[in-house]
Amino acid sequence: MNHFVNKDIMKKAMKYFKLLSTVFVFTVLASCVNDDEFSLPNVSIPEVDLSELGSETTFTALYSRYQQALADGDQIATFEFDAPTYITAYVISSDQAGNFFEELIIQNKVDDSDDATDPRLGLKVEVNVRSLSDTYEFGRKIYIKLNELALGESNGVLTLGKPAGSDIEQIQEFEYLDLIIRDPEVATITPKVITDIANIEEGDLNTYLQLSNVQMNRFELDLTYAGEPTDEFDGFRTVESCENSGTLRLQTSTFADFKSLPLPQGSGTMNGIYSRDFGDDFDVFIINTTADVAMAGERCDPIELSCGLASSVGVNNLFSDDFETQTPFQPIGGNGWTNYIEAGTETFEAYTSGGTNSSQGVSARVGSFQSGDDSSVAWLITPAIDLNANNGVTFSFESSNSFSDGSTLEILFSPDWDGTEANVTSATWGVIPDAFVVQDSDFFGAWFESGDVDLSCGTGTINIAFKYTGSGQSDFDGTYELDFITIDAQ
Amino acid sequence: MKKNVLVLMLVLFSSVTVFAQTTIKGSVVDAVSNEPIPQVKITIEETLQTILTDARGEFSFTENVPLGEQVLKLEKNGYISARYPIVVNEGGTVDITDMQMQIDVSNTQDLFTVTLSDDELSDDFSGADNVSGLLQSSRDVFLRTAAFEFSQSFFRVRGLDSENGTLLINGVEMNKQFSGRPQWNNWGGLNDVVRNQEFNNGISPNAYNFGGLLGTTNIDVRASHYRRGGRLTYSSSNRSYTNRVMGTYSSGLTKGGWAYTISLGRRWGEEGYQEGTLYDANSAFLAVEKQINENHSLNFTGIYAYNRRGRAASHTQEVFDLKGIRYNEWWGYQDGEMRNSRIRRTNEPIFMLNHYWKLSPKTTLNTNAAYQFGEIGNSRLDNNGVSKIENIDGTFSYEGGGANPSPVYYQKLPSYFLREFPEDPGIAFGAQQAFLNDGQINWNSLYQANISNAVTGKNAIYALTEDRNDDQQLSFNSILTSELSDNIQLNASVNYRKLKSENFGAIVDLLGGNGYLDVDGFADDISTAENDLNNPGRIVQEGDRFRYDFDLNAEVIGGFAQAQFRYSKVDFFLGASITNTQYQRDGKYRNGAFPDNSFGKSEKLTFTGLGAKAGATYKITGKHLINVSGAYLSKAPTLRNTFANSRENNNIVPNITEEKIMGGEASYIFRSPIVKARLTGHYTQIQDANEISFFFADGIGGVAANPEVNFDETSNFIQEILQGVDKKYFGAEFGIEAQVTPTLKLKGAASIGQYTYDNNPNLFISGEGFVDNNNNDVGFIPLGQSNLKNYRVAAGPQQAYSFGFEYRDPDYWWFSATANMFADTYIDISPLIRSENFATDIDGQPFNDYDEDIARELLRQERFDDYFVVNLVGGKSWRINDYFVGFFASVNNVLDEVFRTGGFEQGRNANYRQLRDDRALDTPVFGSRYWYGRGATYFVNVYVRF
Repeated sequence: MNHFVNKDIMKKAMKYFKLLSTVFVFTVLASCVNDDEFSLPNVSIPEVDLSELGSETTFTALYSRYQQALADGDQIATFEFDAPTYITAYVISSDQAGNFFEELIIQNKVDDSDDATDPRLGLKVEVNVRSLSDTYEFGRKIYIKLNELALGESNGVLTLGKPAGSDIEQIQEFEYLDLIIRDPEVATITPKVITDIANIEEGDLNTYLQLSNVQMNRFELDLTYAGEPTDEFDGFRTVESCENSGTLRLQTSTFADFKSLPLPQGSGTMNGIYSRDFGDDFDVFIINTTADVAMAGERCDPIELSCGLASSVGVNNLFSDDFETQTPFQPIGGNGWTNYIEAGTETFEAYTSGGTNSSQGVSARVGSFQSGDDSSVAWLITPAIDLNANNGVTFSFESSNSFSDGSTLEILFSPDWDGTEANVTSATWGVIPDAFVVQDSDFFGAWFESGDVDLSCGTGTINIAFKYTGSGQSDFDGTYELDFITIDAQ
Repeated sequence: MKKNVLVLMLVLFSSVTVFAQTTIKGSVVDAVSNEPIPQVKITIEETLQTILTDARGEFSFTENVPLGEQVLKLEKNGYISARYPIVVNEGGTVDITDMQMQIDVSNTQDLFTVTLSDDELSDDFSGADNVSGLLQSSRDVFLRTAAFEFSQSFFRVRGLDSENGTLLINGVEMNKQFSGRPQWNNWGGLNDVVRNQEFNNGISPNAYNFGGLLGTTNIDVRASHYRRGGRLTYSSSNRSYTNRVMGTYSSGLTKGGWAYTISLGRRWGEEGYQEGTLYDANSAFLAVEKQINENHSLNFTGIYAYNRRGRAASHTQEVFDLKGIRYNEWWGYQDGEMRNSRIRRTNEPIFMLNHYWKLSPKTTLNTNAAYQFGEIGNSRLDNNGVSKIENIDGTFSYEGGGANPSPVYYQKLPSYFLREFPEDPGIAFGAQQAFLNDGQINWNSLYQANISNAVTGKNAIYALTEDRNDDQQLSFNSILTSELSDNIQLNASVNYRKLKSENFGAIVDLLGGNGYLDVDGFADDISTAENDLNNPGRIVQEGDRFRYDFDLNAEVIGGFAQAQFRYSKVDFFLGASITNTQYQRDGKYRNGAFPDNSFGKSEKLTFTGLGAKAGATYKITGKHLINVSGAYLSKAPTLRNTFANSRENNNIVPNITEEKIMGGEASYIFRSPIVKARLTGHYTQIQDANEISFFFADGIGGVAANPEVNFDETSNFIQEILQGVDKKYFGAEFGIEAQVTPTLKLKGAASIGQYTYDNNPNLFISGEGFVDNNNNDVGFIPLGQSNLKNYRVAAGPQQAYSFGFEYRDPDYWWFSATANMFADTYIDISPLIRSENFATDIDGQPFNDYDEDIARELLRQERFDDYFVVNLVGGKSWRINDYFVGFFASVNNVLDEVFRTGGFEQGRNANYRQLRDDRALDTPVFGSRYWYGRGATYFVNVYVRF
C-alpha cells in the first residue's frame, strides 16, 4: 500500500471538493428563484377621487328619469348624453351563498332613514360576473358611473344595466370594475323593520328589510328552502305574520347553498331583500344567507280543536250537505252556508263530472287554476254548532283533489265569528287538525274520508270553515273537491 | 490523430505471446489523461461477443475467440467510439493494452437531457410522455435520432409510451408503480453521474430483468465505475431553465480499494419558453465504493434531486390565436413577481446499497437494497371554499364558493360571448380586449376576497392547494450472472418491492384567509358534503391535509431467468419471468358521498404476471445480420388504472385483469467500415389495458336515462374509466449513417407506423351522486362500449423522418445539422363522445334530429398538420495543460416552425347535439385543447474537465 499516493489523491480530492462546494454554495445563494414565499399583498382599497366621477345624482332622480322615459314612449332611460354622473350606493345583496346570481342589489341608505329630497330606495344592477361578493361584499359602499348604463325594468324591478336597443343587458366582466367603483368603506347595514307585511311599500323594493315576528306557514314546515322536486329555478315558501294575516313569499334559488336546509320552524325575524319574482307576478322576499334568519321563537299558530277521532257517530244530525240539491256550476248557497271570497275571483261551487275524476253525484269544488288571480282565498262556512248543548259531536266529510299543487285546503273553526261576511277575516280561526284532507300526492280520481272527527272536547258555539288558499301562481294551482259533509251528535 | 495510429500499430505488433488458450486481453485509457476508463464496452465485431472493462480499464476474452483478422469496437458514453483491428492466432494471446479513447466533445447527451427530463410535457399530468430518456445511451443511429431530434415532438418509438421501457439504477427498477413510468426528475441535474448507461433495445436479452418491449436502460452509479477527474459545467438556455451549474468529482479507484464520486447541480430560472414557468432545482449525489477484496465490493449511492417548476397549460386554438404559443394561463403577478399557480414539486431521494460478489471467475452475484422516499406535489387553485353558517335553530349549512380564477375559463373568452350575445359583437370584442390586455390570474383579487371574508369571521374562499403523493418504497433484488459454458450465459434475478404511497390534498397557501373548511362545496346536501365524516366540518390551515387522504399499498415479488447462447453463426436467447403484484387502498377519510366504502382498507387485489421472450441473431457474414425476436408478457395494471375513484372510495375498475402485451420484431443490420444501417419491422399488441381520466362533462344524458340509476343532473364531475382496451402497433424503422469522409458523416432515420385502438372497450363513468333507486351508491355506471376501434392512438407523430450531417474538424470543432419531418400526429380522442351516450337523449331514446353523416364528421379524429424542424448544434474544445475546456451551443427549431405536438378533445360536449352546436360556432367554446412545440430555442454549455 502506497500511503503517499493515497494521501496525495485525498489531498487533491479535498481541494476539488472544497472548490466545488464553494462554487455550489455561491451559485445557490446567488440564484434564488423568488416565487416560493409571497407575503400578503396590499389589498387595501384607495380612496376614490369623486371629482373624477362627475356629479352625483340620487336614486329618486333615477326613478323620475325612468318615469320620464316611459312617458316619452321609451322603455329604457339612458345617460349617454349626460354630463358625467354617478350614484353612491351600498351593496345589500350577497351571492356568496348562491341565492343571488349575476346581480347586485343596492340601496342609497345604510338604515331605515328617509328624507323627502332623497327617499330611501333600492336598485338592481345586472352584472355578468359570478362571485360578485368577492369584490362587492354586503355593506360595501360603491359608486356607479351612469353614462354607459341604462335604467329599465327587469323582472318587475328598476334595474341598471347596459343599453341594448329597448332593453337592458348585463354589464360584462371586462367592464364592470370600471363602472362600479369601490369605496374603502364597508358600512353596517341596518334593515328597515317591517312589523306589518301589509305595510311594505313599493319604495321598499330592492331594499333591505327585517320582517319581525314572522314564521313559516305551518303546512310547509316539512319542506326545505328550495330542495323539493317541485322546485324549479326557485322555491317559494310562505312567510306569515304573527300579528295579522299578512303573508309574503320567500323566494330561494335552487342553486342556493342552503336550498336543502329545512325551513325555520319557529317565529322571529328574517332579514332580506324585498323584490318581485322572476315573472313579475308577485312580491317576494329573498335572503342572502340563513344567518339572517332568527326564527327560533315560539310559533304563533292558530288555536286548535283536537279531540282525536270518535269511535262512534251519534244519530242526531245537526248539519249535513251532500250537495245534491245545489245547482251544478253555481256557487254553493243555502242550507246555512256562508260562501265568502276573501281574495281573488274563485269560490266554492257545485259541479258534476264523470270519468276517472268523477264527482259523487253533485259535489262541491274550489280551485284557482287559470283564474288569473294574484291571490285566491275562498271560504265555505257551516252554520253555528253548539258544543255545549250537544253531546258527542262529530264531523266528517270526503275530499278529493285535482293536482292541488301549491294550494291548500284548511279545516278551521271559529268560536267568535258573528256570522257576517264582513267579519270573516277579523274573527278568530283555529284549526281542526284531526280531519284528514286529501294530499297533493294522492290519486286525483279518488275520494278520501276525513274520519269521524271528534269535536266533543270543545266548548261553546263554533262555525266550521273550509278555507282554500291558492299559491298565487294561478297557472299552477289545482282544485279541491268536497262532499258528504255531516255534523252529528248523540 | 497520427500519434494514435502510431500507438495502435505498435500495440498490434507487440501482442503475440503463446498460450494454450486463445485469449484477447487489454486495457483502455483516456487519450489525454492516460487514466484507465472503466465500463467501456468491448465488442468483437464478427461474433458480437461483448465485455466491459473493469475499474482498472482492463478486459479479457477467453471463450470462443474467433481467429484471424478481427476488429474490436470500443464504446462508452461520453467518448468517441473506436475500432481497433487485431490479428488472432490459434492458441495465442492478443494483449492490446492502453487502447485510447477520445472524449466526445460534442457531448450530445447534455443537449438531449435538456430537452428531455427538463421538459414540461414529460410530466404525468399533461398526458404527454417522452420515451427519449430511455434511448439516450444507445449507439444506434435510429434510436439516437429518436432521442435527440424527435424528442421535442414527443415522438414515441414504436408508438409505445415509457411504461414499456424499464429504467434501472444499479439494477434497481425505477419505474413508478403508480404510472409505470420512470420519474426523470428524481435524478435531474446530475447529468455527469448518470452518464454510464447500458441500453438494451426492444426485445433483447439483458442481464438485469425481463424488461419491457421498449427495452431496458441501466444507469450505473457505482463509484468505481467513474473515471477519475472532475468537471464543472455552466449552461444557459431559454427552454426550461435559464441557468445550470454542475460540478462533479470522481476519485477513481484508489489504491486502498476506495472510490467515491460527488456531484452537485443547480438549475434555475424565472421563466422558460412558456410564460411563468419558473425553474428551481437542486441536486446532490454521492457514491462511495469499497472493494473489500478481489471478490467482494460494496457500494453506497445517495441521490437527492429537489425540483420545483411552474407548469404550462394546454389551450384551445382560440387562446393560441389571441395570445400565441408561449402564453400560459396559470400565472399572474403578485407584488410585481410572476406567480404560477401550478407548481410541480418533486423531492424523492434515493439511497441504495449494492453488493458485488464474484462467486467464481464465471459467476457474479449482485445484490441491491434501495430505499426511496419523499414527496411529489402538484399545486392548483381551489375556488370553492365555504363557511359553516350555524343558524339560531341549530341547523347549519355550508355557504360560499367563488368564481373560477382561470383567465381562460370558457365564460371569459370571446367565443362564449359570441355564442351568448350573437347580436352584440361588441361584448365579445370587449372580452377579447380584456383578455389580450391581461389574461392572467389576478392574485390580488383572490387575497381581497379572502381577507374581506375573514373580516366577517368566515373562511377562505380561495386557496392554493396541492395534490400530494408521498411515497416510501423499499426495493431489494439479487442478480446472478453466470457463464455456464463457453457458449451459454445464464442470467437470473429475484426482485421484491414494497410501496406505501400516501395520497392526499394539502393546503399550501390560504391567500390571506382564516382557514379552509374541509367540505365539498359542490355537494347538494350537508351529509354528502363532508370530506371526512369522521371529522366533520374541520377547518384546516396551511400544511394540513384535506379533501382526500388515502394510502395505496403495493407489494411486488418477481423472478426472472434467461439463457443466452452464442455460436459463431447464431446467437439466441430465451427468457422468462413471473411476477406477483398486490394492491390495496387504505382510506383515511370517510367520504360523505361514500360512507360505506371509503374509510379503511379495500379488497386486496392480486395479479400474476408472466413473461416469455426469445430471439435469435443470424450472422450471415460480419457485414450482414438478421435479428428476430418476440415476447409475450402479462402484467398488473398500474395503480393509477386500478382504483376507479381512489380519492373518494375503494371501488376497483370493473372486470379488472392483467394487461397482456405481445410483440415481435425482425431486423436486417448492415455494417461496413463506411455504412451502418438497420431496418426493423415491428408489431405489438396490447390487450386488457385500462385508462382512467377525470373531467367535467356536460350532457351525460345516457346516465340520466339509465333506469337503474337515479341521477337527474345532466352535468357533473366524472371519472371516465375505459376498461379492456386493446391496441395494435405496427410499423418499420430505419436508420443509416455513412462516414463519407473521415470528418463528415451523413445520417438518416425514418419511422413509419400505424398505432390504433383494436377494439371497442367498455366505458364506465364514476362520480358522486350516481345512486340507484334505493339511494345506494352504485359507484359506476356502464355506458356500454366506446367505439374506438381503428381510431389512432395519440402516440406522437406516427411518421417521422430525419436527415442530417455531422462535421468533425481535426481541430476539435464540430458542427451538426438535421432536418426533421413529422406527420400523422393525431389528437387524443374522447371515449365518452364515442359511446352510446353520444346519440342518447335524456329520456334514453336517440335524439330525434340525429344525422349519421353529421355525426361521422363530428367524430372524425383530428390529424395535425405535418411539420418540419431544423436543429443545429456545434462546439469546440481546447486542451489547456491538464484541463479541457469545451463549449457547445445548439439551436432547436431554427426556422421557428409553429406546430402542435399533442392535444385532446374536451369531453365536455358529451352528446351529439351539444357537440354539433358547439362545432357550428365560428369559434367553438369547448374546442379541443392543444400543446404546441417550442419555437426557436437555444442551449449553450461551457465546461472544464480535469
